[in-house]
Amino acid sequence: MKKYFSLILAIATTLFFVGLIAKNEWHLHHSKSIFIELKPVDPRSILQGDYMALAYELNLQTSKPLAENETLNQRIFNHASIRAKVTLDSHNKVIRTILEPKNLSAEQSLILKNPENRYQALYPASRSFLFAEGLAQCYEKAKYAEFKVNLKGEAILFDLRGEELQPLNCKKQKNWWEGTIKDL
Amino acid sequence: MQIRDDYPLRNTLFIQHLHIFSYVFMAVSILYLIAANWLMLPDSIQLTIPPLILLVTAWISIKDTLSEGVRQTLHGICGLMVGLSLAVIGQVYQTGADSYLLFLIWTLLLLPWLYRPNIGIFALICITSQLTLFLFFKQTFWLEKFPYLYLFALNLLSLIEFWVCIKKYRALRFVFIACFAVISIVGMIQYLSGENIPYLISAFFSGIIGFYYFFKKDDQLCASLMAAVLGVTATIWLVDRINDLFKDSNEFIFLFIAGIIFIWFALISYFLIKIFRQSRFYIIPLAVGAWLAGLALAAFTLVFWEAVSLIIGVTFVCIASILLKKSQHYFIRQFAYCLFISGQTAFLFHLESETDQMLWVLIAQIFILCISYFFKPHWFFILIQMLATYGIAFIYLLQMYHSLWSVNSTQTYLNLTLLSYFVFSLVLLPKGRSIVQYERSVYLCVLAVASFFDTFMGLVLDSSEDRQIWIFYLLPSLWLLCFSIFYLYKHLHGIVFFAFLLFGVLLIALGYFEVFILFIILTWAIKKKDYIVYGVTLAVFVLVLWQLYYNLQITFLAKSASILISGLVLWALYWLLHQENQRNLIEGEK
Repeated sequence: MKKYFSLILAIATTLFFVGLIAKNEWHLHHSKSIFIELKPVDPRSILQGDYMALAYELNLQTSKPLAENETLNQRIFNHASIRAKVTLDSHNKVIRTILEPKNLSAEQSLILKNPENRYQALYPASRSFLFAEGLAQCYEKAKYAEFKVNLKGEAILFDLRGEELQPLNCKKQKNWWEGTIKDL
Repeated sequence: MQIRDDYPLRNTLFIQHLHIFSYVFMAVSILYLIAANWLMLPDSIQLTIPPLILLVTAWISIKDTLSEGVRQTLHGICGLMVGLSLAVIGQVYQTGADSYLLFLIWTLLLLPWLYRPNIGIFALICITSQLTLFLFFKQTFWLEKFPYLYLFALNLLSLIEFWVCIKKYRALRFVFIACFAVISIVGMIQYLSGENIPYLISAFFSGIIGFYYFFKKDDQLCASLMAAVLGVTATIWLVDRINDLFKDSNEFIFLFIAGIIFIWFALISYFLIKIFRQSRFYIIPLAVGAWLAGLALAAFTLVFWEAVSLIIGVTFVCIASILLKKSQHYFIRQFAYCLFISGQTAFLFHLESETDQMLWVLIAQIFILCISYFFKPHWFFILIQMLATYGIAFIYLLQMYHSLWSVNSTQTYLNLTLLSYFVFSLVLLPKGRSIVQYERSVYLCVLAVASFFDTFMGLVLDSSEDRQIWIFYLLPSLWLLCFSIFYLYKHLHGIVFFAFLLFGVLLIALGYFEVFILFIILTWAIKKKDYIVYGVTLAVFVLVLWQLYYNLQITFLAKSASILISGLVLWALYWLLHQENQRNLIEGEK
């Protein structure tokens, strides 16, 4: 039995991974797409190769007005994640994001991450979008980030979209064997 | 004529290394191609690769014929694949889950793999668990809310892992000494910045427990190292207190600090001699203390009045030279080294500020390098002098064309390449009696320069027109020609000789000839069983391949192909040398 234990462990671990993948796939297929406008930021990381650092136009508001001398940063102080509701237009673009929603059950929930205790740094799911070397020029055209959000407000960053929410199809513009282009 | 055998290319162990390296090169070429195009692969393939490797590796590991070492290695690969699988799932589905969760799940999934003792898996668990703890406290803001709880958890977790380490994986105890050193020094710095007692306790708690354990087990080396760590932590406190006491005093404070440090570490050594009467490791704190005192002395000489500093510097160097010439006592020699370095630093620094001419500094440093050889110092001292000479020469060449910090000037680029190849040519020097005792210093210097050269000057030919490309071919070609005449031709004959030559020419053409020099140094390290040079050579190999990956001047496909070709040629070299050895063995038996 001990002889086969490593193989049993590997199979059990793989099954666990399959479960994780299934959970995420279910999330992708049973959730709503919302689009958040991007702020321009600087791409590229030395270690990760090309990637797009993302910042979002969330248009933050609070459901409860701020008291005198109170700041938004104080409201979110030391909360690792913040529950919010987003108002969407007819194309599912986010118009405004309301923090601490209490009586807005009809709106779409969205969980924001708070890494720095600054409301300007709040973001949903991910602050970076990884892509293959040499596709930076194509992804520079991105204006919106597409998130798949479930009822609980948990989001997965799914893709980047253009001005009219059209898919950029960057991956299709390049063959894998080309690797890094020479004029990078 | 007797043939010198400084680089035994037909050594069986070296041939085995060639064999391993040929596979490493081929594997690296495939790895580069996959890694570079990873994000171009469909998500399903990305998600399949790591679990597939996990399953196949686990399946191979159950074979009865495997040795325990190979099985442990395979299980180690399984442990890495578990983490890689989690990372890929996180990358494909960008859910924004906190990264501590990834490390937590990885740690939990690794634990069952310890059913069979495995040092690699245990080391991995130590890293992932510490990362989990830190990231959890950071990402949930508990680090701000409950900083002392983190301190407690950090010490507790480290001590639990240390306990497992000394029970089952004693080889890792040095890593824990390094870990305790970091906890101790960071704790002391945090205590001094905030005067919070828990940080002071943390600065000594794990260290003292570690020292007590090693003392009880009579592990003299580890106890001495631990004592040196505690000594350094206490020194930080001492220096801070002295600084507070004499806030308005002049530069002599550094002299005072140097004296205190020296006395303090001498006391630690005295204490170690008392508890370990037969030990020779008491010298460790003494050496650490000597070098820390040297830093303080260097600070003292540097902040002094300019012309006086020159005189103090020269005086220090003279006193150190006399001590090195006259005494063989360990304590005195360490003191002399620290005096020498601090005096030399002050002298060179103020010489530059007085003359405003880097050339004088370079000439002075070459002179210092020459005279230091005659004191028969420790190999590390000569290495420091060689590296200092290279560093000063490098800065001088950068300044020569008023282009400091810029290697864009063609002439500067040419000069720096010439300088690096001048250092590489030290490998070609005949190994006479005069140089043999400092061979390690020479090789380590060449390795350091090779790493520096690759990191900052680039490995592969730059296509821009202002670079004089011919120099990249000429210098390594000259090196190879000299090596072939002095060494290769005398050891290898016929097809094997030409195969080695072809390998060198191929590396010149591909633009990473340093790899050839690394192989030559490796032959020496294997022959002499010099594990320091051997370890550093392997580390530089990794660095060169790493640098090559990040060189964006050529496509990944070309990079991958060139490394694959190098791997194939290496394999052919292995085969030829192996065949020749076999033939010689059969002829010998006849």
